[in-house]
Amino acid sequence: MKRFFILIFAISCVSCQKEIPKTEVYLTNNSEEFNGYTPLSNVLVRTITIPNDTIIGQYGKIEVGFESNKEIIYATNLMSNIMDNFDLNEATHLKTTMINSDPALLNVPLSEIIWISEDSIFLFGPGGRIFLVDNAMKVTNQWNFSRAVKSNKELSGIDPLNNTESLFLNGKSLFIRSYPAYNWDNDMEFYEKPFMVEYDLEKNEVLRQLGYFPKFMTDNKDEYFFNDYKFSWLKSNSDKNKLLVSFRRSHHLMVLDLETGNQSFVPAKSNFLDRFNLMPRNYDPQSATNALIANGVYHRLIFDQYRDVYYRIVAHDQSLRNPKTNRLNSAAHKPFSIIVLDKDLTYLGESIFEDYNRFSYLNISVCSEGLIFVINNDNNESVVTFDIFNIIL
Amino acid sequence: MLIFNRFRVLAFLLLVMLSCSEKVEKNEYRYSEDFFSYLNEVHGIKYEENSLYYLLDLQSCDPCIDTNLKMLSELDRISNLNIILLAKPRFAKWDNELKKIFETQNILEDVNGEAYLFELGLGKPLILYSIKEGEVFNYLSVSDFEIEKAKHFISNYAKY
Repeated sequence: MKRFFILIFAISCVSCQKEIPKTEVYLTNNSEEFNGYTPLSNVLVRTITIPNDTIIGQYGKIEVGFESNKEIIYATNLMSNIMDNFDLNEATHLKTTMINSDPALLNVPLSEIIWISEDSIFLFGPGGRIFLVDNAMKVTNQWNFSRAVKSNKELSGIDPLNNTESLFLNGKSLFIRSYPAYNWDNDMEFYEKPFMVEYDLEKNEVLRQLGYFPKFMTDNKDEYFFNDYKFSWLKSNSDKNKLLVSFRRSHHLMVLDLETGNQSFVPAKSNFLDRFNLMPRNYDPQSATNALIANGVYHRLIFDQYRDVYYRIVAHDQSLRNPKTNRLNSAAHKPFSIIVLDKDLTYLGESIFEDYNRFSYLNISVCSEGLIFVINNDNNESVVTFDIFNIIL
Repeated sequence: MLIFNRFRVLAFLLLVMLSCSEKVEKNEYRYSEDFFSYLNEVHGIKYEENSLYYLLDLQSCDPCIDTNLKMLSELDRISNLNIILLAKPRFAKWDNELKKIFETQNILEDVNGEAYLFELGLGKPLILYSIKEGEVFNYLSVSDFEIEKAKHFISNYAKY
C-alpha cells in the first residue's frame, strides 16, 4: 500500500513538471526539397560621390526612377522629413524637398514612403493614415484606414511598417496589409486572419480579405519569432495578378493569386539560413532588440527590370556584441547575401556581400547599372556616396 | 509607570512605522553593468548613489513622448533626478516642455541614441534608481497608461 502511494506521488510529481520549451525549432514549409548552393560573385561597377555640405544624408530608403530620360535617385530620411533627388549619371544633387511641407502632413510621423510614379507617391503614417502626394509633396488625396477598416474577429488593423512596403496598387484597387495592433508577442489570432485587404479607392470600401500566413507561424503556442508579421511582397513581373511574398523565416516564397486567393510555394532557400531562434511570448524589449540584432532573416524581395531577375535579400545571423567594444552590434549592419531567381522564380544562385559595414542590407535599390547601395559616411558628412554592384550570372 | 508604559508603546509604534517606511521592495534590474558602462562611456560620468535616471527616447511613438514630456515638465526641481534624452525630437511641438525641463532638471543628452548600443532593457521610457554602489536597486518601465505610476516612483526617491 505504501509503495502504491509513493508511486502515485511520483507520477503526480512528474506530470506536474512543466515541459521545458524548446529554444530552437527548425521550420520549413516541408513541401519540397531545397536546391543546392550555387555561389555567385559580384563586382563593384562604380562608386558615385556627390559633394554637398547642405545635405544631411543618412537615408532610410533609396529608390531609382526616371524623369525626362534622366535616371534619378530618390533618397529619403523620414526622421528629418527630407527627400534628396540626385542625377545618377551626372552624379549631381538636383534638389531637396521637405516631405511634410503640406499642412496636412504637419506633425504626422511618417513611417513609409512608396513611389508609384514620378508624380504619385504614397506616404504612410500611424493610425493607418495614407497620403497621396505629387512631385512637389502636395497632398492630392488622403485616407484614414484606422477608421475605414475596423479590427474585428476576421481582420486585424492596418498600420505602416518600417523597412517594408505596406501597400500596392492593382488597377483601381489598393492592396494593403494588416498589422497586429498592440500585443505583437501574444496575438496568435493575428496569424490566423488574412494578412491583407483589397480596398476600392473610389467607393472607399473593403472589397475582400485575402492571404493567409503559413501555418508554421502558429505552431508554437509558447514561443514566437520576433517581427514575424513583417514580410516583403512584390507583384510578379510576368503576371500582374500574382503576388510574391517573402516571409522572414520561410525558405520558400509564397505565390498568391490575387484573383482566386490561391496560395502556392516555390523554394528559395539561402545557404546561410537554417534555424530560426524563437523567444518566449511575453513582453521583453531587450530580448526583442537582441533578436533583431542577432537573428538572420529573409529581408526584402526586389525585381530587377533591367536583368529580368528577382533578388531575395538575406540577412545572416551575427553575434550580439562586438567583441572589441563589448557594445551591441547594429541590427542594420549584418553580414548579408542576395539570392537571385530568374523571371520564372527558378533559383540561380546566391552572392555574398563582404563589406556589410559600408552599406546596409536594409537599403538597396536597382538602377540600370545594377544594385545600388547608399554608403555610411559617418566620417565625412560633406559627401553622399553610392556604390553600384553587379551580381555575375 | 503608566507614563513609562505609554512611552514604550509609542516608541515601539514609532519603530514599526520607521521600519515600514524604510522597507522598499527591491526590483531586480538585469542590466546594471551595461548601464554603468553607458554612463561612463557615453556621458563620461559615474553613477551616483541615491540617484534617479529617466531615459526617454525623443524619436519613440508620439503619444509616449507627449505623455512623458508633459509629466516631466510639470515636476518641480528634483536634485537627484537625471533625465537622459535620447535622439533629437522630430517635431517642434514639444519645444515648450523641453525648454521647461532643461531649465528645471539635470539633463544628459544622447543625440545619437548610443543607449541602444548597450543592453539597458529599453523599449518604453525607463526610470532607474541607484541606492548603492554598483547596483541599480529599482526600476520602472513606463507605460503610457501608467504615467501616474512613474510620477509616484520618482516622488518615492526624489530629493528636492
